[in-house]
Parts: sequence; structure tokens; C-alpha cells
Amino acid sequence: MSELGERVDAANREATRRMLAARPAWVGVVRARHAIRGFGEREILLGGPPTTWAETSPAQRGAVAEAIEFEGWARSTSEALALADAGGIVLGALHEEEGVVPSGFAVSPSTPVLSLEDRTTARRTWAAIDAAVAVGPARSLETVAARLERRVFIRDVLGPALDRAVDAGGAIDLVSLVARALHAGDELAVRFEALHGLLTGELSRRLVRAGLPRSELGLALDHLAEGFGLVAALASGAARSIAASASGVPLSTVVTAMAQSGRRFGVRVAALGPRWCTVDLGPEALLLDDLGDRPAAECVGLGAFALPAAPAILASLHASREEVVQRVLALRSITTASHPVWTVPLLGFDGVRVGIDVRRVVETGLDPILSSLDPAAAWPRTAPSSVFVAALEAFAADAGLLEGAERSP
Amino acid sequence: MIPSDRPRSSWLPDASPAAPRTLDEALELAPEATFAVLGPPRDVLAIEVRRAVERGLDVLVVGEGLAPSDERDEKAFARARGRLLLLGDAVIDGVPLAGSLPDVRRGGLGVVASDLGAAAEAIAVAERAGVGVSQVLVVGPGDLAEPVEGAGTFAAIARLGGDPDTRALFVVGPAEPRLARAVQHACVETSKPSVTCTFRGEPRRGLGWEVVVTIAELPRSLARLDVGGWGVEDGGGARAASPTTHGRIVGVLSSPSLALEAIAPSLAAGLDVASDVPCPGVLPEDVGGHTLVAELDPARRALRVRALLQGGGPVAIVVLDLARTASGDGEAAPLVATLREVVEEARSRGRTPPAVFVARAAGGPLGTFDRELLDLGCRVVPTVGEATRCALSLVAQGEAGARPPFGGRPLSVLTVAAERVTRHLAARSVPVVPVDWTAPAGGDARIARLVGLLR
Repeated sequence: MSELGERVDAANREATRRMLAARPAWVGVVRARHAIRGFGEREILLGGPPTTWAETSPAQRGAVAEAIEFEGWARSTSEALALADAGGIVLGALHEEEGVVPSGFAVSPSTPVLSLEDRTTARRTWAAIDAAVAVGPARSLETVAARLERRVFIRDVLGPALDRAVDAGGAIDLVSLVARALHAGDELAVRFEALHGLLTGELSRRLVRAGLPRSELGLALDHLAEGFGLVAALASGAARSIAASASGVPLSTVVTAMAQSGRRFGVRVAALGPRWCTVDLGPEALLLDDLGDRPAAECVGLGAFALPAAPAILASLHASREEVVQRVLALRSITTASHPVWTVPLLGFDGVRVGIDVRRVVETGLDPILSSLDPAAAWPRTAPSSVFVAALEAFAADAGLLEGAERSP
Repeated sequence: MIPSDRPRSSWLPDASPAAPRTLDEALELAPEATFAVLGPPRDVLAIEVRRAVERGLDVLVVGEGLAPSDERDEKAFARARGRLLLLGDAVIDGVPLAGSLPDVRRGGLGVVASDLGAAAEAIAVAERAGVGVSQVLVVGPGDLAEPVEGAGTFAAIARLGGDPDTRALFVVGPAEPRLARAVQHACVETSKPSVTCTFRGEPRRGLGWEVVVTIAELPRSLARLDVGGWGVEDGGGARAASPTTHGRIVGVLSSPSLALEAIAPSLAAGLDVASDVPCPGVLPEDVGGHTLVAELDPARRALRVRALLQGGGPVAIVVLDLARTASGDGEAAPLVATLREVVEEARSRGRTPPAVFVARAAGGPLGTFDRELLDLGCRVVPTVGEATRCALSLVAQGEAGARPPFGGRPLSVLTVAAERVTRHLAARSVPVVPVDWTAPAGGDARIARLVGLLR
């Protein structure tokens, strides 16, 4: 191994150590403008790497229009779109503020966000709660009016109630919750049934003890019972918190973020800190479901990386169980470690694989598998190879290696 | 072929373990590996070669081969680290790695050849001269020319110089006079007798070395250098027997006189021999060491063969005699049946069958049993004396075989983009771990080099 290779390996071990040491916990619910420093008065934050209004997908435009209406900056969807077309809003990415946003959703200043704290480093991350009840294609059947009504409810009733409940009962450790959910049939990017069950019981108890008015308590419990938005946000936020803990480790080629925004797919690499390396997926990318920040899950071993934990999903995939398991086992070739706590019973309690190494992805041609909400989509859906090549080149440029690559080894 | 300690799904117990995707992963599975056989496309091959050499592996390149500048750089890199970078094929400890060269009779001649054709010719000529080979290293047709300047040849000569199985060297390949002289000097520096052939100039010779113009001149040179006295000289017996040759001699002869015919040269060769035939110097019969006994009854002879093979170590060399009689081969039946059982039993257990030398003491056409013996891999020779010589030769090799294998470690191979070689080696029971390899970045050489710099 080259001397530089050994140094990169050592850096990756450190990045992985930080990820495995992270202990994200849910500590409260706050409005985005209070959580995020410098949140602009007319700013809207999307998931994925930063994008421009011109590059946004139809789904993102709909989400932005909904957020504009929610804030009262426009009275209709067409008026909201006209405002955005006219440059009346500032478009940003919550990822830049260490937060995650569900695909098809946009964060405005008064949108409540879950506040997560890594108990190891005290780093704060944020996760927006989707106002949709359903996930996947079913969400598009929900009317804008119903979603707006639910956003208002989350802002005015559920958000404050949850904040009181969390505050009253103490921070909720997400690492152990995720571990239990993995053992109960979730992979935590598409399926959240187990986590939902585990969390609803605890939250219900806390909401009752928080002394909410009976009417609000009933609505809050109804919301918890019927939707997965809250648990999806918590799982995604926990993943973001863990991956972010590796950011900034010099010389590390471990991936700290993967996300899609419209046609653009991006990754962050530990050594490059907050810098995104992105590629244009082309117009056909808009025909698939927008991944948004969902690939945060795979960065830490959840989602598609944990598919064997979720037999219910396996049955619906366009792939044999053997094929899926083989592909998951092959992740060993592109990752740095097995998670000691997040284990998968059906894989003999092997830990999920964490720490995607850009070098190994490029070397082996094994692109990381990703979750898809569209059960009809071909399997596997993978992150694009080109983005890892771009990341490797960016890393090499920083390390002064590009000239060396022109010569023989 | 993939070790069973790879991650496996307990839910799907029949799921194949994850195959290694890189040389490093394969090395985790087989840290004892000694050789990498590499077949990636030329554009990205040098990166894999460099990596293998950095990991301490000798390298055999198959397929497209290296670009000339890469060949120069990688051979220099490998030579500086005492590693081999071979092109085409090699015979290591009796195993043709890529299957392009023939099986060889083992002996003491180490061959360094520029190409497969020259190597095959050298092997054949040496065998016809009664000399077996230790290792055959093919360095590539461009090695003894610019820009490589013989880096592969010099590395190969140095390795054979330190190889205890190699007692003499033969280096063959076209070379400019300047490089030819350097090669000859490199051979002399090993302190082993050597013959070099560069197809030009005049034959020359000195103390312990000779320069010849054609491969055909090799036998005379070997004879002058007294190389013919080494290795197997049975005229092909060892090839018919087995590449694994060490062990003990077990002989059940049909009369005391024939037993003594086998005992005498064995004692002369310095072996401790046990026998039931009275003879000065023999030990009481036991079932552990070299044992040469007499048994007149054909059925009892078969039983004694089996009994002797069951005692002592797992590998044995059997010396028998089976006279062709006017009444047919009827009395040979029990013995042939026993041999078949022994051979098939060994094969079914994945063991090497014993080497069997059968003396057919009378002339005449080959009979049914001759063909059966040949099918079983037995070597049929005319006399008990020759059968004994063959056996002694194998035992002598076995003593040599007790020395460390080439490079000090048993042959174990990693293959990259070389499926045919993987199948070939697996069929030869050579430990082999294939890498499920994909060209980095779809074969983009620049990105592949970048990965190489970072790994």
C-alpha cells in the first residue's frame, strides 16, 4: 500500500470511529427560523444539494409553492409559483445547515423542525416533519389543502406539544431506538412500522403527562397514529447527525452525505467538509421519485444497506431475495466497518455496513444501493458512479494528486 | 474456491459468500497467497501489477500484457523488491500456472525463457536429455531489449539462484550482445552451473557456464556441466507417476531374487530397507519405512501391497513385477484390482495416489492389464531394475522436496480477470481465490491511476 493510501486508511478509520461513536438524541421541536441562524425572511430550504429555481423538479416546485402558501406569501399555488418565478424567494438547502428535508417538502421560516443533538459532540442537526400522511407515490394523491391544513396543525399544535413531551421526559436516544427497529422489521428509509410502534407508545405516554388540553391531545395522538412523517424525520435526522460527525476529518474519503435535488445528485466527502460534489443526472432523473435527503440513511448503513432487516420490503422488490442479500453482503467491499449496535438478525446479527469509501466505490464499480419508494422501479437503484469519480477527483485535487494521475503508477 | 469465512446470510444458508472485489480483499481471505495472476486490460493493468507487487506477491500477467513503458517501470519496481513479474505462463513447483506450458518432469534445471515457445522447447529438450526442471519463468519477449533492459530476466535469475530446487540454470531468449553478457554474468553470480542461449554469436564456455546458440545444444552443455546427473532420469516415469513424489518405497516382488534386485540398489543409494528376504544390511520387516519383500502367491501379493500401503506415511512408491505368461494375465488380476482400489480410494479422498512402477518381465504385446495399469497412472517398465531406479529417483526428489517450496511458501494464487486460469488451477487443486474484478471507473486509465495512488 502506498504511504498516502495508509494515511487515507487511517483517516477513514478515524472518520468511521466518529460515526460509530455518535449518539444522536431527539431533544425538542423548534421553528426553523429559530433553529437556523440567519434564516432569511423570504427563504425556502429544500433537501439535497443546493439548487436554483431553474433547476428544480416539478415536485420541488410544488413543495416550494406549498411552503409559500403556508407562510401566507401567496394565496394560491399559481400565485406562489409566480412569486418564485419572479425571484421573490431565496432558495437554499437545509443540508447546508446540517438538516434533512423529506423529498417533496420544503422548509419555510415557520416550519417546525425536530432538533437533534449528538450527545458525544453536542452537534445540532435538524429534521423537517413531512406534512403528508403517506410516503411514496400515495402522497401525491393528498390534496394541497389537506397538506396545508396539516402543516398548520403541526406548527401550532403538534410541534409545541411534542416539544413539551420531549422536554418533560428527557431526550430520546435514537441509536437504541433504531437498533430495536432493525430487529423488528424496519430498514428505516422506506419502512418505519416498527420504529413508529416503538415511538408512539413512548410519546403517547409523554403527551398525556404533559397536560395538554383534551382536544389537542386527541388530535396529536391521532396524528401520531396515522402518519409516519415524524418517525421518518427522526430516522433521517439521526442518520444525518451520525454522518455529519465524520465531516472535516482530513484526508478521509468517507462519504458524509448523499442527496438528490431534482436533476442533481451530490455527495460530500469527509475531507472536503461541507463542499458538495455533484453531477447532472439528466432529465430522465425527474421521472423517478426524487430522493432528496433520503440517501442519508445509506451513509450510515440504513435504508437499502439494511434491506435484509425488512422482509416485507424484500417481497415487493423486483429482485430475488438472494440477489438482494448478495448485493448487501457485497457492500463490505465499499465500506469501512460493520456497525456494532445496528445489527440484522437475518444476516446472523452482522452489523450494517457503514462508512462508504469513495476510493473503493470507484475501484470496484460497486455503486451504493439506494432505497426507492416506487415499488415498480427496477432494482437496484444506485447512486451514480460519476458522482464518486467527481468526488475522488475533487479529493485528489485537494491532495495535489491530479498531476500524479497523469503518469504511470 | 472462496474460503467459507466470508460474510454469509444465515437466512439464506445456500447463498454464496460475497466474493472479493479487490486484490486486497482477496489477500484478506488468503494471506498466504504467493502469486497473483492478472488479466485486466492493458490500460489499467499496471495499477493492479503495482498493487500486487507492493503486497509482496509474485505476478504473472496473462491476456493483453503491459504497455512497453509500463513493463519497464513495473519490472524495475518488482525487481527492486525481489519480486517476479512474468508474462504468459510459468511453471512453479511443477504447476503450469496459466496452463499454457505443459506439465513437466520435476528436476533441478531452472528455466528462464523470453516466451512460451522457447520455454516449451527448452522443457522438451531437457526432458529428452533426461533432465527435469525445477521452475520455468517466462519473462516476455521484450524483456531483453529496450526499454525493459532485462529487468524481468535478472529478477528471475536471482530468484532461481536462491531456489534450493534449482541446481542449474538455462536462460533462453534473443538479446543484444551487451544484455547477453550481462545475463551470463548474472547467471555466474548465482554460483550455479548455467547455460545461456541468445541465438547469436559463437558458443563459449567457462568454469560452470556455457553459452549456446540454439536450444538444441542444451543437452550437450548439460552433460558437460554434469547437470544430467540431477533430477529424474527414468525416461518419463515421474510424469506418469505424480507431481508429489516424496515418500517411501514399497515393493512386493514375485521372488526373493527379484526382491534382492530391488534391495541392492536401494541399499547402495543409502536407504534403510526392511525385508523378509535374508540379505546383509536389511532391517526386519515392518510397515513404516522402505520395505521390499517377496511373495510368490499372486493373491497374497495383493494383500501385502495393501497392508504395506496402509502403514507408514500417506505417500508411497510401489515397485511390482508382473510376468506376462503364456496362459494369460490371470494371476495379475488380484494385484491390478488392488491397485485400482488404492488409486481410486486416494482420488476420492482428494489425496495423491501412490506412484506405481510395474516391471513386465517378459516381452510380448500389451495386454488388457497393461492398458488398465496405464489408465491407473502406473508406469510400466521392462525390468525390476528400471522400476527400482525410477523409484529411487522419486525418493531422491522427495528429499529435495522436503526443502521449502519456491519462494519458501506453498503455491497459493489470487487471480484477477483470469477466469480460465482460475478454473485451470482449481482443477489442479492449487489454492486459488478469484477476484470479482471490475475496471475502475469503467476502464478510465486516469481515474484508475488516481485510485492506485490512493490505495
